[in-house]
Amino acid sequence: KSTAQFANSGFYTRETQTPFDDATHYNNFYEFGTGKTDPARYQSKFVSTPWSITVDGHCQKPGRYHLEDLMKPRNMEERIYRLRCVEAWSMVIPWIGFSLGGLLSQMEPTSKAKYVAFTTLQDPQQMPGQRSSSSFVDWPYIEGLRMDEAMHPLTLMAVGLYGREILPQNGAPIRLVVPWKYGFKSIKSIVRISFVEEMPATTWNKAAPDEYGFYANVNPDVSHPRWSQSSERRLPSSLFSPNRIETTLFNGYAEQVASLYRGMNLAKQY
Amino acid sequence: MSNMRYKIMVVLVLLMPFEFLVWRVVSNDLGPDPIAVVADYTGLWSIILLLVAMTLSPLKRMTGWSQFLQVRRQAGLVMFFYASLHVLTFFALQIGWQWLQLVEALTQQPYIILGATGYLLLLPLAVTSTNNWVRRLGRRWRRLHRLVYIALPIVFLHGWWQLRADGGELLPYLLWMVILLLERIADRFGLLPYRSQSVAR
Repeated sequence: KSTAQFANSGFYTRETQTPFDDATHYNNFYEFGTGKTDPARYQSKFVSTPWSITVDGHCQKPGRYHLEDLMKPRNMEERIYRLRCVEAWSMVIPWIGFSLGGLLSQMEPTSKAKYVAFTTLQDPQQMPGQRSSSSFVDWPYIEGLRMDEAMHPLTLMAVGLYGREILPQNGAPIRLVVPWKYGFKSIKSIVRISFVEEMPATTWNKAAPDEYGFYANVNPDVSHPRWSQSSERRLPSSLFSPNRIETTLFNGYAEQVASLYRGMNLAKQY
Repeated sequence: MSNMRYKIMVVLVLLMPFEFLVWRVVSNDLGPDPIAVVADYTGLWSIILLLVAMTLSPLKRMTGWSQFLQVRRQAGLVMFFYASLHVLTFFALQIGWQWLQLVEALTQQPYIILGATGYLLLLPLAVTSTNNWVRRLGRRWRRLHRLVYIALPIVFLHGWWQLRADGGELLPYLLWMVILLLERIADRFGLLPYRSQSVAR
């Protein structure tokens, strides 16, 4: 593919990239703690090799796969995506990874597979946030996509960022990146992929259904009940210039993904 | 130590979190989203200082040391300083003096309404903290300053509402607030084991 085709597909943006230090020291990864700097601070004991992923549910090739075996046949690509957090800040991050679609096809999902559910590692020994007794969320973290969303070419499984291996605070060794949805959909440190028939119960949706929908598509017109989503702070921002920009529908990927939601009421199915 | 020196010392101690914040700003240690950090920080210290200010009278009741009450005005004013910084952070930095954004926030975001209400309730208390106002208002001064019992839970709820996943961050302050309020009720009904000045009120 030529560079122009690549850009038209939404695979990269020329917008200023967030500095590496910011993208790796300002994270929401509550398994390591709720503070933005907790993941970088508490990741040192995290072991991401060896790693395996259990594939189950409605598919012909269920099983437990070593990560290396899943990665070996894949073409690694660099994708530069906008990342929009539901908290109204955003970054631009160069990921390295491969399309989720190819991986899912390899597992030969059956016609009963309407959704894909993902699970993050649960290991309170390594993840101090999972030991918190005052947490409002249930572990392990679970996220999900509709099958057509999961098969979309923009949906990425990332194993690296900024030209290097992904770090634990960013979801090592393998995470999802769905650039047109709020960041919490892009589940980290994945240990299970399940093909399911019903819409899976996802972590934030269970914790606060009126605040976090299953779809969680970036949408400036649908406010979070506690704050507006019409604009965002593009990080890094500084104290006296917030670097506030307008938020765009589907985080600027409408051209690529709007057709997935044709006929849906986005204010109701948020 | 003279009375004046004692009061100045207390103010300086209560301002230490602010000095620490200034130091972090100067050394560029606030991370990629400094506005959010400053807003959280000044908000949290407003709540802590409000609790500190309201802990002085039970400390006085418990120990009989009047020194505690002598600095209540200072504690209250430092609290109001943090609260004002917090409001200013929201106005100037977060919404950039955009009135339309302010109107949107005040009409659509319940926790902003709560925060604004809390601040507006504390404002007259700060204004009437001078000796002049105490004299001028007489008995009404005391009644006016009971507004703090409405402001505290409102401000606390405003803070609680920002939490996303873990109540642990604010749990100690919730306990502190509940103990303070229970102590006040017990005092009111003369149920305290220690001598109270205010029973005969």
